[in-house]
Amino acid sequence: MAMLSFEKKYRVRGGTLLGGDLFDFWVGPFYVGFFGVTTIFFSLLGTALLVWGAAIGEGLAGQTWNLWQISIAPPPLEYGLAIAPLYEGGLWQIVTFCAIGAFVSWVLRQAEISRKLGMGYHVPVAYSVAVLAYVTLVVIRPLLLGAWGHGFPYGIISHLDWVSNVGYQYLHFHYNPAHMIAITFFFTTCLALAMHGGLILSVTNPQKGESVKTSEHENTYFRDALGYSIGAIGIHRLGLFLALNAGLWSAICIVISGPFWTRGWPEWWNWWLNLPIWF
Amino acid sequence: MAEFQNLLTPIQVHGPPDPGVESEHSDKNRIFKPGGMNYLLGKIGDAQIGPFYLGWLGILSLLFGFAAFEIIGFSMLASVNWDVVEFIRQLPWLSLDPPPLELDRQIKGLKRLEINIPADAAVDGTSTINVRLFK
Repeated sequence: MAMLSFEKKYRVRGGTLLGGDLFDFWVGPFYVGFFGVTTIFFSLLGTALLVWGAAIGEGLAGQTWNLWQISIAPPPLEYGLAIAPLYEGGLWQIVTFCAIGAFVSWVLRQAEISRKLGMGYHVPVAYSVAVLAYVTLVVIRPLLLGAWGHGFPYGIISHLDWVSNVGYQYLHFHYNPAHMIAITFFFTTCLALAMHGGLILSVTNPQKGESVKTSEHENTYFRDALGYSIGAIGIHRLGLFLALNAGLWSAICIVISGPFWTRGWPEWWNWWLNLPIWF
Repeated sequence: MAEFQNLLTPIQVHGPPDPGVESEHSDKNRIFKPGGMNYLLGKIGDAQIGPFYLGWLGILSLLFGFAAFEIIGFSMLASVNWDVVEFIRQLPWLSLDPPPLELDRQIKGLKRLEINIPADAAVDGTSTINVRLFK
């Protein structure tokens, strides 16, 4: 497969986290590595188990090949933190194990590629936050609540139902303070990326006959508009900060729902109304 | 590799402040002299604060924004009988609402469809509604 002329010198052995030279080679443009193999192993096995579960009709919906309705459900709450029979949530448990195996392998593969290139670990660290959010949903929160049944089912419609049901258990999930912060970070991430993307395209796509503008134009635009330009590296730091906080606060907002607060989230705000300073 | 492992700028170098790009279209009405260098902002990005372009649209933007902010705020304050303490206490729950339905009904010739279904109309959680539309 195509390889750029300078790419060869970056394709060096070593720098692996585990396994030494095992699988330390490229296939076409892809770095394989030990964790590339484990990623493929876990994702293929997990996907195959999902298809098998769909074939036998494991889950809430009964047997169906309707893509929207297929669902692999976690065990009923009665099983607590035990290993459940295969057709009663055991499949969900194995699939969860495979998913975490694949996600963590992918993090470590990113770390190995970063090491080979002598880069920082920003990419694997960033992706870890997404993995953390998933692990919070299907492992940490179920552990704190004492039953694997608190995990969400693997299905397109069924996981939406889960989100809605769990949300209404707390009457109005938007009153969850961590949820508020998470949403704010999601929206601000969109705002920042839209402004950054718009700015870069506006200087690099000149009208016919005009020259490409410079980073001085970028700075001047935002200084004129807002009085401050965060700069070329700063916007990427800000973007990473905003995006990671969006994922992190999402994880926080669900892990405190149940283990920390069991009543409606609107009620939580009574502390503010009852502060002694008002009277 | 360690030099890549930073989240904040370790060493800041400040040259003369950048006054901004001039072009045939750009106004020269920038206000606030450039050159305020903020150390903490410099840790994450550019340290320079300003200059700032206001212009007529900027002034209008501020005026309209101020008007909206005041109307919303004073309406909220009025809704708690001008009690400043209650205004702060209840601020997250206060709102300035769109016109109520009653005002809508007063508009002659406005076509609207309102369906009010009493909760007790549902038997065992379900009920059937037949809607017939005439021209």
